[in-house]
Amino acid sequence: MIVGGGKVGFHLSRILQQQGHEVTVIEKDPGKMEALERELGEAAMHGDGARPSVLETAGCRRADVVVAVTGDDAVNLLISQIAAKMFGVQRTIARLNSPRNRRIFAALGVEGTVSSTAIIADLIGREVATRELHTLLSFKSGEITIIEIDLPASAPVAGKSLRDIHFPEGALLVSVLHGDDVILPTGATVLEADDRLIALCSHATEAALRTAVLGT
Amino acid sequence: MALRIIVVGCGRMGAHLAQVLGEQGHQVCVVDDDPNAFDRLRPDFPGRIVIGTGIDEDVLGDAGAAEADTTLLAVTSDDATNFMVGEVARHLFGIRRIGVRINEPELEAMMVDAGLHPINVPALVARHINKLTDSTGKGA
Repeated sequence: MIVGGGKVGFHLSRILQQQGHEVTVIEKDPGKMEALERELGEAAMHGDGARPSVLETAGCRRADVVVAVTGDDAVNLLISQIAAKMFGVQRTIARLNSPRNRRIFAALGVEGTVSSTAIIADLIGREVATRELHTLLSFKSGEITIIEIDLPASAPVAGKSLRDIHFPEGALLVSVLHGDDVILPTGATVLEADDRLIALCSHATEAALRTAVLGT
Repeated sequence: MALRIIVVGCGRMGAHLAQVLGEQGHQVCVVDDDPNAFDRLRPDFPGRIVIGTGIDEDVLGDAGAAEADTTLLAVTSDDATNFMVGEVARHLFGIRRIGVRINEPELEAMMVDAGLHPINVPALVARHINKLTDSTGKGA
């Protein structure tokens, strides 16, 4: 069960669905529901995930994992605690928007906290250019990340079909956003300038993926 | 006995609480991340103010959370923020007397389980109204 249907929640839901998991994503903002329902079907549910009764109706008691990925750390902490304490969910993961909050999350046993901002800070620290490449989410303390790459016209892969592109081992292209369309990639998919690529990769593969896609 | 009290949130409720408790002679520190929020306090407010977000450990430290026998009241308008402030106060500072304002009655039981004292605003108002209607019913 995923609470928060923004960018991170949406991509995470898609990936987990593709891996064959039964996913429910709860989003509070009615304005985001249309897109979520179109892409995720019945998995998308409208409601305030910080309310216990909403979580219960969504099937929280049966969930193996509850992931809270809203943009508000306090809300993410509250959701994880409702899931763990009221509904006995064994594994709760909360997105940390501010690394300063890491200590209290750990003190409350919120497992596997993910912090995209920490990863970005880490990248900047290692002097890796992040202009066209953004980390959306990381797991396992940053070993595995979901990244977003905006494809400039100058990219070596622009205009090529996927079967002609060599992606480094350890990187998986999850989807291609072409305008408003979400494309599930096949070998025949042709990448175009201004496409946005969503990829899952290990931390160690990130630089190689960058070189393969952007040539820098 | 004068108590050491930290009030997190200087909205209408927080400012009123801080003012009243300060006037009663308690040692009050009020915390809010909006510097303009303190305009709600009267110029003669006898306590201290700290500008910053109450979920931040350093901010609560500045407000005196590490001092012995501190009472904390988390009374912002946001339930999740109040809960997080309460958990930081409890787990990172070991504060025992913590009041947490909630606007969602469904959260009450969980707050109690977490060792926090919920200030369940809708339930309090309902109880008050019940008393009012009971007494009018009796013709009092």
